Amino acid sequence: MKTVRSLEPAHVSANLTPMIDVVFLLVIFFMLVAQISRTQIADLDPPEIASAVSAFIGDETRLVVNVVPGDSKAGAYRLGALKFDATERGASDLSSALVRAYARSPGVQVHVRADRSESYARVHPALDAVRAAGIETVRLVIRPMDAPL
Amino acid sequence: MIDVVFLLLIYFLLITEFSPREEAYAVAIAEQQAAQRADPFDLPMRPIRVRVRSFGDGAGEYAITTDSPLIGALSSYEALSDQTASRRGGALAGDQSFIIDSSPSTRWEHVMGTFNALKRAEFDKIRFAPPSSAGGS
Repeated sequence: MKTVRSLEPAHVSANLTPMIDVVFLLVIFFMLVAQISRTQIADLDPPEIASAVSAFIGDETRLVVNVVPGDSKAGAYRLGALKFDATERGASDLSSALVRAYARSPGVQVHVRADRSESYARVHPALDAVRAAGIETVRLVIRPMDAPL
Repeated sequence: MIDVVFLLLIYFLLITEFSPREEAYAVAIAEQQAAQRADPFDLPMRPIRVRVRSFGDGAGEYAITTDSPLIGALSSYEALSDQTASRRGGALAGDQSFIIDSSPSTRWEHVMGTFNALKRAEFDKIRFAPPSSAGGS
């Protein structure tokens, strides 16, 4: 008895499920990265230093005090989503917020980021607020001149 | 659906900013003040005041002077670094302290450039004075 074999190729379809999973993960990753960048780090240009002897910022948890560029006293300092004015009261509130945040995660690094063109009069209150919060070490953020992207 | 997901992926790829690498200097705030009070019988070591002033908006538009006769005229961060480093362990003690004295209008990049110059000379006791208007703008 003869059997007739079909010469048509078997129907093959690619399984797209793993690829969709990976693409979804990538979407979630970029959404989160975009969100985290906006809350922690203000859009400013730190001092660019030649032959810097600074230390690389690792993946440690950190509190970032941003000195918001501009002349406005309102919202001059930012800690996460919190904003503080460049006044005596604002500096005191910033210090209290740092104390609370530091109590939640003791030993966390505290960074101060300011634009290269910022005046010292605007940066120094942020340093004072960190000192007043009883934090022993502050980290001053710069950009090494020969740093890669 | 996969088309929409790809569009989303491209969108988030484009809006995510990959900023240049940032680094940081660790500055002990409380420790320096405590160390100065540590031993009442120690001869007090006078800190050297390093005055830094900005006279323009450019990265190179700054002037540095010190109140120490051991350090000569300074034209740049490199000069400050070289002069202090060459006197370290000799005319200047290894644990010599410095105070960076900036005016209210001094640009932050000039303050940090001065700080880096002293760190390059391997001095660790560096403090920031409150903004002072003495000695120019």
